[in-house]
Amino acid sequence: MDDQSQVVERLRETFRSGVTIPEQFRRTQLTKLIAMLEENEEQIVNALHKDLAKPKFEAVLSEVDMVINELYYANANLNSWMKQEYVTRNLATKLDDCFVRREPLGVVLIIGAWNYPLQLLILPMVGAIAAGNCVIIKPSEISAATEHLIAELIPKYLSQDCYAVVQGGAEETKALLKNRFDHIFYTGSQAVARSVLVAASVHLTPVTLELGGKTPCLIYGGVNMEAAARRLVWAKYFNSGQSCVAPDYVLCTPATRDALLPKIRETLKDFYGTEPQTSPDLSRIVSPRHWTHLMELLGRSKGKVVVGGESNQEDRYIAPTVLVDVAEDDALMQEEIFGPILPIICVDSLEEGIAFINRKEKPLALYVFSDESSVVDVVMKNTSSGGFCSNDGILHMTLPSLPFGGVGSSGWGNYHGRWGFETFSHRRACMLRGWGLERLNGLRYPPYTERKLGWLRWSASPKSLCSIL
Amino acid sequence: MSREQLVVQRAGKSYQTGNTRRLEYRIHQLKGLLRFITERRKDIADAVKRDLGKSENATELFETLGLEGEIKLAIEKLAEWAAPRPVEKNLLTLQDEVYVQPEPLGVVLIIGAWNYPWAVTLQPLVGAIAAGNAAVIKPSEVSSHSAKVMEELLPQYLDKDLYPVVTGGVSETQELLKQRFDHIFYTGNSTVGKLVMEAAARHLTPVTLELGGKSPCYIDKNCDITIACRRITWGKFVNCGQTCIAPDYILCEPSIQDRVVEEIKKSIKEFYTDNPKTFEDYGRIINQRHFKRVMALMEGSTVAVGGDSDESQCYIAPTVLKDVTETSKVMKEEIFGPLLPIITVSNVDEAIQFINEREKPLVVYVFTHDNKLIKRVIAETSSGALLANDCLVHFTVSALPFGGVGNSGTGCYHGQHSFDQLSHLRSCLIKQLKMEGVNSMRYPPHTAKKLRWARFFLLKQVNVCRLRRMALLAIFTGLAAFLVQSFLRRG
Repeated sequence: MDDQSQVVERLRETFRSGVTIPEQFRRTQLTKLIAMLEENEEQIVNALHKDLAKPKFEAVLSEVDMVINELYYANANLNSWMKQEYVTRNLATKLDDCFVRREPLGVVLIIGAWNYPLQLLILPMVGAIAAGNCVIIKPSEISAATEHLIAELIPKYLSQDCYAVVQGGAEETKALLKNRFDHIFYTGSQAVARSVLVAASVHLTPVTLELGGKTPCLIYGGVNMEAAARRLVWAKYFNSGQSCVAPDYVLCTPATRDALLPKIRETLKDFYGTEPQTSPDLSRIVSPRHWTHLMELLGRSKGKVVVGGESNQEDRYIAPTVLVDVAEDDALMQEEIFGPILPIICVDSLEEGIAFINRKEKPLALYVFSDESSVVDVVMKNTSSGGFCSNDGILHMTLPSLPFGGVGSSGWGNYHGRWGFETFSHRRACMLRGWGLERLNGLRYPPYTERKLGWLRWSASPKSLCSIL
Repeated sequence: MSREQLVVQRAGKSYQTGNTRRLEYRIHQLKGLLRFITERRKDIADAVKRDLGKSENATELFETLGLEGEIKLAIEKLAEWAAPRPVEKNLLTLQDEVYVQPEPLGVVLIIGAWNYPWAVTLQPLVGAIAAGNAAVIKPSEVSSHSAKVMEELLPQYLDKDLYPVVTGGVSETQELLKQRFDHIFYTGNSTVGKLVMEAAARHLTPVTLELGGKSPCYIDKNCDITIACRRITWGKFVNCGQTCIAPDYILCEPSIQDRVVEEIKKSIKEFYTDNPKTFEDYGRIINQRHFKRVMALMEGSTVAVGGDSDESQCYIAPTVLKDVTETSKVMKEEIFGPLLPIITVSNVDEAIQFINEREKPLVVYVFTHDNKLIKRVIAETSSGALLANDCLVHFTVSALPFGGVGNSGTGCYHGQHSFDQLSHLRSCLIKQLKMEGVNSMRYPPHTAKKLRWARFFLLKQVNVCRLRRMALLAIFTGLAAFLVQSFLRRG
């Protein structure tokens, strides 16, 4: 048995012992995770800076704090999440105990991504621990500094029999996926997601897939252009565009584009100064390979660069860039950009914009900027996406009360807050019947007569009269 | 282009028209489905009689009664299920609208099974229609008469482009699985379940798998064995044991084995007469292949009750096998037939261990008067569902999620669960372009001061409900203090 399989076996043995089930145990682990993050914040921020040149502000808000908040939220609500949920019954089962119990699945695997190497790995882990499972986490090897730090810290704070970190690249992940898990949580690309699903199907393992797509940003109608530009720029160039919910491209009329561009320029100057490469508040592309790919995309584009365009290979730097005159079949429109490059595509009407969006795969998020609520309404009702936010970007995924996940090729399943707890739980239906009233049961036993059937029809119906009883 | 490709394309085009987004349209279709069940009762019953030898009343009791209930519930509750679901806000979103909006997925594929050809094929359809999807329905070819009736008659009651019925065997199903769906709902066995999931991987299609397994039934020696055995006998031999949630095998202490055998024997006689073969309300095995499969499972075990059979009729008598061990043939796979093996265990610890050594089943049954024992079995085993002191009936409570775990399946349905399973729950945050000043703390250039403010506002979870409750409590306390004071002053 190889190392990885041994780890899985060990965790399975621990799970069988039942130690992760009691509420107090789960709470203790969650509290230890809080300590891990609070006591090592500086180290974490440094690792994130090494991997992505992530500014401290971003590292603290979008990584450390997001997870700490989720942990506090889980601890505060764990008791109510774990409670048995009693359900409505029909007349025939009125005297019985009918409830739903949330139970852990067993040993779960969480595969993280490199763009938010801490958040995308530990945030799902919170849900998995809260739900009472044993957890194996596999950080992305591309964000190597954070990977090593996580591998070092987790065993120091959490029980090694219940939680393990597995490191490695594509080969190691493939081998890991041959093992049997009770749930696989994957954040990343569609291509890898397919192989995760195929591996999962061998054992009938349920999965959660947090993927991506081209998140459209439609700007239409009367718009407070200054506010819109600031929020758009913030959401786009946060983490240098390497966010699964970053606005990928803008759709607007030519007039809107003309009003928007000067505001974008102004905002970029306010945020990053006249020489963005010298600003400490702009991160870098994660690796030379990713940088080359983005530059290549930019090179193949037939659009016109109107803002930015500068780059530096050694620094893995690409300036916040905006292009206009981008057509639907442009190189930039064939895949998720995942970088600080913003194409603006012109449409003449809202219907055209909506039709454009619907010709593409369902994205992870969809943004609409408009002062007119009717515009927001029309777009929401005629499109589909994982999440939807009007007049801002990214923020909808910071609320633990909202489910965070995709639909169609942007993903399957969701998490955050209670949704994460439910993702890693099995909802077991429980019914405890009494021993009395056996005569009443006689109605359902053979021989099946018309008279018996008549009584059963009446007692099983969901009529409100029966609910009163 | 293949027939299957055309059907799926047409369903997709019809879905794009947006008709199913309107609740009235969905209700109209659901009412059509209800009329189908009530107007075509006889056609459905005849088909099931030819497929499974079930009597007309049995078909109504076990297939259409539940279906009617589900349709009526969906019609009644649709507006509630489809409405936006507001969620908890934080300090920064107090002024915004924050909710989850259920939305249709698109085109759903429903693959039915042969054991309850109407219930397990059409109940998921209720959820699909209610959630606003189009659905391609593929009934099992094994229950061929029901499939034919469904293909002929359903289009007369439902929109035939949005909800087409596609019949056929393995190759037609494989062709269907090559197409792209927005969700696949499969009921059947684990082996095919794996293939469905693998096929779905190509298009990253989410699946619901309602599979099976060996559902254990533990009888505590101190319980009322007569009543327990009546309920178990009923649960086992309904549909000739061809029920995914039938008690597959019994676990009990050796001291009560003979009594259990006696009581089951009595109940069999009470329900199915001395000659079940001639009794209208006892069914048949679906086909020759399954008949042979079930008969072969009896090999090596001691027949305590029944055991006789008639291949020409696919008839197998209600049969009890005693002194069965874990290596017996009958314990190697889900029986799905009228054989009830009894395995003796020394106590409940051994029973729990036995259950846990096997794949997680669709349901665990336990018969006991001791609530502590029930709690123990719940806490120490895992299964789709747990039912104490009866069989099958948890299926009838729409509010309970019906589904498996591990090898017995993924996902669940019934009642609102069907609706949610076949919907996308879209998170929505509706903001205004006002109060832009507040946002400045999150924008670069970043300063330590801005970071402090942002840490407080942006992410701190303030339980608005708790704040409200605390405020109310403060008001009531103040009021109470005031009232008490004035009372004391008056006194």
